[in-house]
Amino acid sequence: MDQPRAEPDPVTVTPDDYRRIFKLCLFYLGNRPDAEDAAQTAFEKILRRRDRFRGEAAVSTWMYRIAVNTALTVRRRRALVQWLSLSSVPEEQAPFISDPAVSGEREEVEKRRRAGLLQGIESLSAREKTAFYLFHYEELPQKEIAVIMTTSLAAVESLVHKAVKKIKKVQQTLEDMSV
Amino acid sequence: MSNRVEMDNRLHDLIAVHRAWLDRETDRLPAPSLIPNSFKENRLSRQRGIAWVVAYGFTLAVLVIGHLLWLTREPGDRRGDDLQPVLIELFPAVVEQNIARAWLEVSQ
Repeated sequence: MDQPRAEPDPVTVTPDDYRRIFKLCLFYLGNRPDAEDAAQTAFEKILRRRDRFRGEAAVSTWMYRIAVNTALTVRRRRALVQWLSLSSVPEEQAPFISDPAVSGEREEVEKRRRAGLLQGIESLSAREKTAFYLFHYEELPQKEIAVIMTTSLAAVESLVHKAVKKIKKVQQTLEDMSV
Repeated sequence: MSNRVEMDNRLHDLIAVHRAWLDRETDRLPAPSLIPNSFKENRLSRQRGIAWVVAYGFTLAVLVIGHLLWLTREPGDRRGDDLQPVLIELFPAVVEQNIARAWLEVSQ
């Protein structure tokens, strides 16, 4: 006889969840205003859909999935707006490079390295970027990343490996150019 | 080989710096208790804005298309005549002028 399926726990959203979502959006979008916008949209989706959460995965996994999709949508929209307005990416899009914490003798080297990392991340596909972020920044187990990305463990391993390789290649190219 | 290891280490250091920067930026978020309010206000004002644009756009599109259809109808076509009183009631000045002009063109 089939056991009656247990009802999942109700989804509770905490400020920490919001912070995690914001951080992910900031990684994808690179600047505060866009990240805040995307985080709010993702948060709104989570609140609206929480009744539909079936408990098939952990709440955090479900939230990550919504946040990743939202950040990608905002990114695509931003790219379209930039294309329509024929404007180049403004300087404020890369505050990580112009971070006031970077100063002193090695300022130029550090800025170049940071720019290299961002450029490397930019060169990744959406799926590579997601796998790279969740593995290297959120330090999630690959198994959980596979659930978030609805893919296999092997695919996650491959995506993370490819992402690191691509970033290193971009960095190497930039270093060779600067020599 | 050592070059590769050096590259690996450098990338990991850089990732750690980037992660720290993301953490710092996240720490600058408003106090948790303020999040729902600001979230609600921003969202509401934007939704209201979109609703106004859609409503105005739709109304304008209906009026323009209706007006064009009415202007381009064949002589003797009576379609749309029954709308005249309604339109005149809604936009007396504009419609009267346009109708007068259109009637002149059609009757010529």
